[in-house]
Order: sequence, then structure tokens, then C-alpha cells
Amino acid sequence: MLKFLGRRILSLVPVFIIISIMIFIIMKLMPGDPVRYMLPPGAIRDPEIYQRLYQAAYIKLGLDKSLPMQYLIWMKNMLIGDFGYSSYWRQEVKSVIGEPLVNSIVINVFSIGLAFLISIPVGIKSAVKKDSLTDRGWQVFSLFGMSMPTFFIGLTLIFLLASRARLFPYGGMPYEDPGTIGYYLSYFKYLVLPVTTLTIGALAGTIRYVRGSMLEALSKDYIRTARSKGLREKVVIYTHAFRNALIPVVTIMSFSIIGLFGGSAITEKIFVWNGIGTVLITALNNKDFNVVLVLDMFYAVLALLANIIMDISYALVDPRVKLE
Amino acid sequence: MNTIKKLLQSAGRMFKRLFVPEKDIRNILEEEALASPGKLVAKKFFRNKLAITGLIGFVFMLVFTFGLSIFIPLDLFRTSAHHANLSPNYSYLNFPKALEREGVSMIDSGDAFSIGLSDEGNVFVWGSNLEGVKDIPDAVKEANIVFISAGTRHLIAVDDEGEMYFWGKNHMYQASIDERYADDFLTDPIVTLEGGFDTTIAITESGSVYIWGTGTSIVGQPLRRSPYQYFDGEDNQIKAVSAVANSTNMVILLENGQIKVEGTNNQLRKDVPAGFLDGTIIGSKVAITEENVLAVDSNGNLYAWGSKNRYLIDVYDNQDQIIKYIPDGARTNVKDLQTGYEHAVVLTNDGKVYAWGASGQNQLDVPVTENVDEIFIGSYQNYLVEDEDIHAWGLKGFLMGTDESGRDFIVQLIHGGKITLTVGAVAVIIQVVIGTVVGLAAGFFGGRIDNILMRFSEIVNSFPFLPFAITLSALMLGTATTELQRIMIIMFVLGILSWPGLARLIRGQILSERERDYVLAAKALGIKEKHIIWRHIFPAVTSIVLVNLTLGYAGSLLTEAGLSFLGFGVQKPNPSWGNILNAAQDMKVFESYWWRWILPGLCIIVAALSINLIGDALRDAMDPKNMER
Repeated sequence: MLKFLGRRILSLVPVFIIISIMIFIIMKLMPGDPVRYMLPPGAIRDPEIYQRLYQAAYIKLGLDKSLPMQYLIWMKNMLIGDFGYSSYWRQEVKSVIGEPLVNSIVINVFSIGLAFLISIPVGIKSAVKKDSLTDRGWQVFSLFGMSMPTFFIGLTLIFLLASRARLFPYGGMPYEDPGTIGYYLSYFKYLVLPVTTLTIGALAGTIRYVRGSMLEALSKDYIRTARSKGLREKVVIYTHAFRNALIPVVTIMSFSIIGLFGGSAITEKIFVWNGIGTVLITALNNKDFNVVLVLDMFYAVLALLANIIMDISYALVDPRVKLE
Repeated sequence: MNTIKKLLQSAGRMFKRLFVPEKDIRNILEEEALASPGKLVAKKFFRNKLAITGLIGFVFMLVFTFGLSIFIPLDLFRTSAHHANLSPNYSYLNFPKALEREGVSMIDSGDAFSIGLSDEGNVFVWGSNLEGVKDIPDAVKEANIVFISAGTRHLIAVDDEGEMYFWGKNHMYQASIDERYADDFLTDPIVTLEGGFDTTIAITESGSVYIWGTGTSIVGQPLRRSPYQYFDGEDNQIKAVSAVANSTNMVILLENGQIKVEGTNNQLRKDVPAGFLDGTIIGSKVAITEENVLAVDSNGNLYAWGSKNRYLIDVYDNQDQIIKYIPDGARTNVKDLQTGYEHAVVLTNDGKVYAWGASGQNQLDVPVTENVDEIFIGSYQNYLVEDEDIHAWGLKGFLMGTDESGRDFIVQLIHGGKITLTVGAVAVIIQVVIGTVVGLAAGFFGGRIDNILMRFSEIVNSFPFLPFAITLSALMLGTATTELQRIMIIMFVLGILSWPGLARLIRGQILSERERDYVLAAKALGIKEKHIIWRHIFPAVTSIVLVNLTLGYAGSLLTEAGLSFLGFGVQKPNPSWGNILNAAQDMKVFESYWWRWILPGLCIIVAALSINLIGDALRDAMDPKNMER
């Protein structure tokens, strides 16, 4: 197991390097001068002082070195956890993305968890009672869910539950003192709508997937065998069929981790949720390359990690797969 | 009881049939033996009710966007403050039949509504309930009303005892008696009221003119001093008999037939025909549009002056040739002259009606031009009475509302849809082409090529889609100069980020096809590799490609909408469903002008849903083993 993990991670190293180079090149191609965003011309009247400050900032951001050198320095700093300096927020990137990262993880973990808690039983039920009214209902729901842009789901929820029913806040972050009980209660209140939005968005696809793989498993010969042996239907469904249906479900799960984290940018933006998606959009709008670089790398690493998680979970759910 | 049960049952069956395809297993085998695979797929596809629903929805969307866009051009520059943020309503001209029955006494129109007064003293308001104009005060309903007038967004009524009623927009106190003058009116009572452009104009018994409401300070310098009493050279006060105003100027008709124009639009002041100033022409009626003044003298001759922009006056072209915009019949023998915001209508003594001016809202399409008794011309809504019948023409309303600049929203939806549907289609074609070529090559050649291509697709696949689409768009949009370039970039970004999934699918399929006997046979016959790939193997994966094409189309529609919503997609002023929805980020739009985000949202949903239905049905039809998915 450990050996497999080591090898799998090693095989990802070249992929990781290529991705990082590509991201780095993309960032460098970005038009606009980050130093000018940091020091808007005209802010300082005296051109000489401005020049001096400009040079200082230029060197501080490491722009005076050659591109490969910049890449190597950046890579080294990344590995030791030094993410550089944000030209827009004017502080270390680490402190810029620290809290938003936690917030993003919270909403994504909640929505991924909820999506699977709901979609697995629903998918199984739909497959077992195929063409029943509930099955058709969920099918229609998931078709609609798949055809709706997430931001429209979010806007509709805000309109109905925040604007009309006044049950939840429109969006934003709690303003109570962190650490108090009031803070967590209010945090939860602010959390409900974005999590619901993301969950609905994710549910649509996963229900269909679980249902599909469950149907395929149920049509296999060993199910007929199990039934003819006289096993109880529950055992047939949950022990025989579901274990086998799990394999594709695991795939979609790891994909939805990547998809959700990436896709939550729009949801975060709508609900003014202080997550990394919001930070990414703000950073892009303000040409804050260091922050964009780190976030894009984070998304890429997440995607690679999700691949490894997928491999391991395959082995966990399917004894035929050997980690070699 | 039994009939209800039967009804319910049949309704239930109908509903069930809509979603559950009826089972017909008896002759699948026979069909397969007889029909070609293509025909079989088509047959299965068209037997699926959901597929038909999707197909109808998609064709509807195509007609709505591409079809209608041919007839309705996008004109981003034609704006109108009067029509800003009007909710969907198409009944501006639907006057109540009761008004016709009771006999029309007066009709006047505001921005998006009309008010009518019947001979029995009843008041009716129809059209859009802008600023609550349709909520007629109870006191008005009970009183015997003898006079009405409509401002742009407020209404005025006067009863037989001289009591005045105001309702509607009152943000600058235009819909109330101005308290500064309230005392004046006790000694010098109001005799005429007139609703203006968010203003109210009053003329008192002594002939003083009062104006209050929005912009009364910009209507012109002399008017800052209200009440406005016009003095001639010898300080003798001269009495006004009627006054009209637009947002810049006020025109006053004096008792002696002189016409005075005051206000900030100098052209209107300068161009007053000299006869109206020195008393050689006696004016009997004045009217004002947004940029022109029209007047009738005591002999029934028509005069017009002001801007050339609205085709309301005769103009000289480059060759000094006169272009007559005023209809000849309207120049003399005028019985009544009335104006809207951009057009004028004349009723002659022999009952003929002539309309001229701007025609953007059909305000010139007079339905009856002979034997007309009375005309009631408002903003863009017009009515005439002919033999006790009311005929209406002009602006019917806006089926899907308007935006913040008063542009018809349906036009934006049509053209936005065109861009959204095109961007999605091109993006998905790019995706499918790259995915198919890579997948085919990797699967067929195998070995090193396969390895390199698959590593590469793994790398691209590791780019999380949305953050990278945002990043790439933000980066490349900065370099784009023209609108077309920007749109191309979005298509490109969406296309190149989403092909790896399809490439893998195709590769897998090819790997299994490659080992089939027919490929071996083809190879043995010495057929070229290129030929084997395209002629023999590719058809085996067309079903995957086709299904991915449709489902991917829905996906890229949604992604484009999301990107544009964030401002990283199609840029304004080019509309796309996504960037129209962007307006929802404005709290005012989100709360009050619901149609401006719900309608584009619904458009996206209908389009994506139809495409998804088609894709699903295609998959079911093409893969008999996969019926259940």
C-alpha cells in the first residue's frame, strides 16, 4: 500500500512540474504591470521617490531576475511554503488565502458530504424501483438540476429564502467575534444557502450516476444467482449490488471534489462568501499574479491528489484491484 | 365521485405517458433484422416522448434567437428614459370596454399607462401599474370627476366641486399641491392643471402659471421664480390661458394669442415664429414634444419649430431641397392638435387625422383617418373616437419588459441567445474535434504516441476547469481588441479545456475495436491506416461522439453563462444570456426588476434542458444495452 502510494506520487511529479511551468508561463503572459497596481502612478508626486519605490517593489516581487530563475525561485519558495507577497492585499499571500481556504473547505466538505448522503440512497432507490413515480420524479429533478447554471440556483434561493421569506441572510460573512458561540451560530446561518446551492448543483449529476451504475450492477448474473438462492432482497441490493456499483461512484466522487472546489467560485461570489474562489476573482481583476499563481497551483494539486484518492478508494471498494 | 376518479386516472395516465415511454418489446428483433442501424436509431429516438419534447424546445429556442434576430435588429443606442425598467406587460392599449360604453370624455397617457374619463364621471386606468398609477384612490372613485390629466408617471383628477386628486410617482412632490404655493391658491384658485414630465403645471384664475416637480429649476431660469407671472414691457401682467412643458422648456399661450417659450433649450425659444411674438398671428393652441413645439393659430394654420431629429418639422437637405415631413392636410383647417413624446397628431375640421414624427413605437399607424370625432394623443399611446367607438394605436407594451435604458428586453434576449448558443456550439465543436483526433490517434497507434497523448490529456485534465477558464479568459481578454476576438477567445478557452474526457472515452473504445476481426481483415487487405481509422473504426465511435456533442453542448452553454456572469466571458455591450444576468448583482434589479434576471435564466434553462433531453434520448437510442442510464 505505502509502496504503491509512493510510486503513484512519484509518477505525478513530472505532471506536477509541467503543470506548474504552464501555469507560470500563463501568468507571465498576463498583460499589466503588478508593480503599477501596487504603486499607482500619481500616488507619489515626486518622480524620483516614485522611481525608487518602484524599483524596491520590483525587486521585492522578484521581477528583476530572468524567467527561468523566477520560476525556480518561485518553485523553491512554494515547496518551503513561502507563497510570496500579494500586490493587491499588500500582505503575505499565505495570510491572504489562509482564512478563505478554510471557508472554502467548509462549504465544499458540507456540500460534497450532503450530496453523497442524499444521492446514494436516492440513486439506489431509483434503480431498485425503476420507472416508479419517485424514480421519475428524481430523474426530472436531476435533469433540471443539470440544466440550471449554479448561479441561477443561488440567485433563486436568495430571492425566495432571503429576499421574500427573510429566513437567511443574503450573503456575506458573520460579523460576530470569532470564537464565540454567536459566531458559530451566525456562521451556520450564512452557510446554509451557499451549501444548498452547491449541493443541488452536485446532486443532479451524482444521482444519475449512482442510479446508472446501480442499474448495471442489478442486471448482472450474480444478482439473479443471489436472488435464486433465496437471499433477502435487502442483502441482494446492499451487499451484492451496491458494493459493485460503488466503483464508478468512487470515480465521480473524486471528480466532484475537483469540480466543486473549482465551481464554487461562482457560488462564493454570489453569496459574498470569503472563500478562495472570491479571492481568485478579486486577484484576477487586480492583476495580483502571486495570489493567482498560488491558487491555480492549489487547484491543480487538489486535482492530482483527487486522482490518488481515487486509486486508493478503488482498491478499498474493489478487492479485485490490487495496488501494485 | 366516479367521474372525478376517472378524470384523475386519465390525467395521471396522460402525465405518465409523457415521461414513461410505453414498452414495446415484441418486435425489436424483427426490426433489427430489417432496418439499418441508422434508421433504427432514428426510429427509437423519435418514439421517445422526452426526445420530442427536447427537440421541440431546442427548435423553439433556435427560432426565438436566430430566427427572430433576422427581423428584429439589435439597436443598443436607441434608449428611452421613459421606458426604463418596465415590467413585462403588453396591454398598454387595452382600454376597458366600460369606457367605450359610458362614452369617452377624455383620455390621456403617461409613460406606460393611460387614464380615461367617461361621460358618467368614472375614471379608468389601464396599462402598466407603474408607481401605483392603477391604484385609483377611493375618493376619486366616489367623486364625480370632470377633468383628468396624466404626467409622465403621475395622474391628476379634478371633480365637479373643484377638488383636486393626485396619485402616482411623487418623489419630487409633483403629485401633490406644492405647499409653497398652497396659500396662493386660496385667494387665486387653480383653473387648469396639466401633468408634465414629472411636473405639474397649474394656471390660476388671474392667469399666473405655476410649475412644480422634477427639474423645475432646470426648466429655465425665469421659472426658478415660481409662480411664473409673465410681465410685458410696461410691467403689466399678462394672463396665460394654457401652458405645456417638457423636461427642458415650458410653452405658455397668453390670452392675447401670444406664445412665450421659456427654458434651457434655446432652439425652441429662438425659433418661435415672429408673428406669435408681435401679435400678428393669434395662437389658439400650443403643444410640446421632447424636442419640438407646435402651435395652431386662430385660423387653424399649423406651425412647428425645434429639432430636426424627430421628423416633426420640414427641413432642408444638402441640396437646399425642402423635405416636407408635415402632411399637407395637417397644415390648415386644424381642429385639434395633440402631441406625444416624439410625434404629433392633427384632427382637421372635416374629421381627418394626420400623424407625423418619429415612428419607433408604431405611434403613426393611425387605424381610422376619416370621420373622426376626437383624438387623445399621449406619450406613445394614442386613441381616437369615431362614431362612439374607441380606436387605439401606438405602443402596445413590452412583452418581456425593458432594461435600465428603456430598451425592449426581448430584443436583448434574442440577440443574447444568439451569442450564447453560438459560443456554446463552437466551443463544443472544438472540444469534440480535439478529443476525437487525440482519442483516435492514441487508441489506434498505441505505444509511445498513446503514452505521450494520454500524459498530455492527463495534464490538461488536471487543470481544474472553472478556475482555469476564468484565469485564461481574464488573461486573453486583456489582449483582445475587437468584440469578435473576445468571443472567439471564450470559445477557444472553453474548447481546449474540456476535450480530455472525450479523448479517453474514444481511446478506450478504439482499443477494444482495434482487436476486432474486421480491422484485422482491413489490414490484411492492405488498406491504408488513415482509411482504416476514418472509414472502419471511426463509425464505431460515432455514437460516443454524437452523445458527447449534445451533452457537452449543454455543458458549455452553462459554462459560458457562468463566465459571462462573472464578467470573464462575453463582454458588454454585446449581450449574452450570462452577461444580461449579471445585472442581478445589482440589488435594486434583483429585488424589484425580477424579469431582468429571471427571464435570461429561464432561457438558459430551457435551452440546456432541451439539449440534455436530446442527448439523453440519443444515448438511449444508440446504445441498446444502455437503455437504463
